[in-house]
Amino acid sequence: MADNGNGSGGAAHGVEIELRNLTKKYPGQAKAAVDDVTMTIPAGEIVALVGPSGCGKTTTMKLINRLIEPTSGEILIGGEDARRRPADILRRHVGYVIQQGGLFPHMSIAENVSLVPKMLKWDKKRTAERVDEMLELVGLDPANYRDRFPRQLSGGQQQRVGVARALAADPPVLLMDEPFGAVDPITRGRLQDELLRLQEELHKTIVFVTHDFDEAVKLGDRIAVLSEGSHIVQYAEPAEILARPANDFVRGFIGEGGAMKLLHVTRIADVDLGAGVTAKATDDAATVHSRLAEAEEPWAVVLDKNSSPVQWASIEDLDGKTGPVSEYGTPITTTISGRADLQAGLEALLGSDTDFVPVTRRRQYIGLVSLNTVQSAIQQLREQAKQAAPASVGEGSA
Amino acid sequence: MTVAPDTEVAAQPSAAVKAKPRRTWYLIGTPLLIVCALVADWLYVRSTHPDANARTTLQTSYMLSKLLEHLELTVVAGVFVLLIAIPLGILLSRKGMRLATPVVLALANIGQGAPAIGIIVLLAVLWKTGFEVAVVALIIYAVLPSLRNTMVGLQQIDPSLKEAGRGIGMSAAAVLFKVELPLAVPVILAGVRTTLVLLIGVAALSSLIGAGGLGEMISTGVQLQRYNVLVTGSVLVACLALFVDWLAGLAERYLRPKGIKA
Repeated sequence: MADNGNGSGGAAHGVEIELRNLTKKYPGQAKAAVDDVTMTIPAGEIVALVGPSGCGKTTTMKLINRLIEPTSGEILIGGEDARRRPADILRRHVGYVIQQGGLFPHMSIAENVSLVPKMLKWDKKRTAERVDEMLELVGLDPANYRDRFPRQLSGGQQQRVGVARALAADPPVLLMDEPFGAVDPITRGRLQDELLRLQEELHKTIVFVTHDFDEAVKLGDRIAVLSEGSHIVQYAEPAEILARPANDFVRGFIGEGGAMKLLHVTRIADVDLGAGVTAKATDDAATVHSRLAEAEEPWAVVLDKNSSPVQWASIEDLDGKTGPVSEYGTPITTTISGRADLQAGLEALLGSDTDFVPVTRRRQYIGLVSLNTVQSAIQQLREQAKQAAPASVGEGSA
Repeated sequence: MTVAPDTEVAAQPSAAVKAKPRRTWYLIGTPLLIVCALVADWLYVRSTHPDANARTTLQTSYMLSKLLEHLELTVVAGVFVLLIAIPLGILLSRKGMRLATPVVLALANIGQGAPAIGIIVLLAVLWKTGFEVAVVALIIYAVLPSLRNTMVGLQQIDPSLKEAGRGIGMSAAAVLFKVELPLAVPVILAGVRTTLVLLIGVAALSSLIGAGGLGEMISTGVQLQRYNVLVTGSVLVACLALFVDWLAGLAERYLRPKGIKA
């Protein structure tokens, strides 16, 4: 399966990873580091393993590519037993990213990225093309960066190269061990955004280990909250964990401001937005005025010919006026993309001098977000979580 | 120096890893010093009006043959030291060999800790005189710096790099040859350099057991009380040591993998 992930066109999509009764016990230790873990990581999803240090999350991840050999249990990658192939061969088909990229300082960026393709005996031309393609993918200009050495790059850039190296041979599965732990918060945020963008294109199966719950919420399609011995305390989608933590351990891990974090996992476009009153720029002021009066709304959103919101027109502005509505009112300074999360929407609201912020999709107006919208969205999320079947609760306890 | 392998190993990394940042004038400085020393010695010898006895020893052809003998001793012993120290250092830095490390380092420490002259004479008494014995004595004496730096050089590598190598599917051997050894090169070379300089110095003692070398000029000078011969022999040994140190320094400079900070 992994072997046909060649050629730049047909990128290998993710495959399912299944862990069955996976146990790792080190000799001389009473407790298993990883104790009977069973979980399924769906194809093409990012699953974040979170938990306190020493809970065995990294060990669990290393069991998948057999950097650590399990004491017992099974690992299936794309339905194939991971133990069937020699470990070195297996790992060439499983991308691996560690903190700071784990780049080899004595090799150029191109050499670092080409390591796995070379091990897979790709020819030179194809390898070189792939290196450039990968560098472009992670936003580094190949001509500029190919021949540099890792120490000439910033931490964030090194991390990107680390991701490029892991993806070079187009593995269906990517393991990431706290990859963004060592960079500053701003760079970290950017790298996270970029990983999400990459994932939209690539659909790999990504196992992401982190101790930062917020990072897990941001990146994970699912989150597995682990306690000691890698016990799965809760394994569910971020919104569900936030809205309905399985127990106090998870609650403690979410920390303060669970509701705020819930804002993070919801896209504005996915909640019920206020429609508002809209008007075309060419509409007559008097008509818009009467429509506002009828709808009992104080403001109208004036759209240009591309349906982009451009102006606010208040009922007072239009009182007794005629002519195109675009001649009255005040320009709209703040809009927000429907792809942004509710938290960003809330920030936009707090930062703007209006009670509403227009929401756009590809610059086109799709509705208004207000404090009310945010509040009712949160309530709705909570309701949904309560109605959901309690299937996600793991057997482990804190 | 006593047998204290632990403190030795602990103390070494900082000294070894730093490996002295060198400036460009180093390139010219050492050769210039060597030329000055040789010229000064020549002027001194001329001013002493050497007699016939001294002149036989101070002939260019004689000095050259002794210099070659000295180099031969050094090179042969040096090659053996590298053949022993580097593989042994690699072996001792592998997992599972940790227990053997203190023992081997203790032995190597004894080798260097014992007086060089003692080793040479003892070996000659126990075995025989001549070239082979001198080489063995030199190896025993000079193996430690190369061995220790090989080990330190490999041990100081960030473990996460080794794991990254294994994690992307490199075999243990590939990680050793493509990651660990290249990264350890600067430290290993610093050890080799120390070894070579030690060898030049100690090879001067091998004339005591009839193995030749520039040491002969020194002992002849002492025996015949010809100080010009004695001084010339010493100056030649010192200059040779400086020259080899300089060459090894160049090697360190140019063999250091690109991408690693000097």
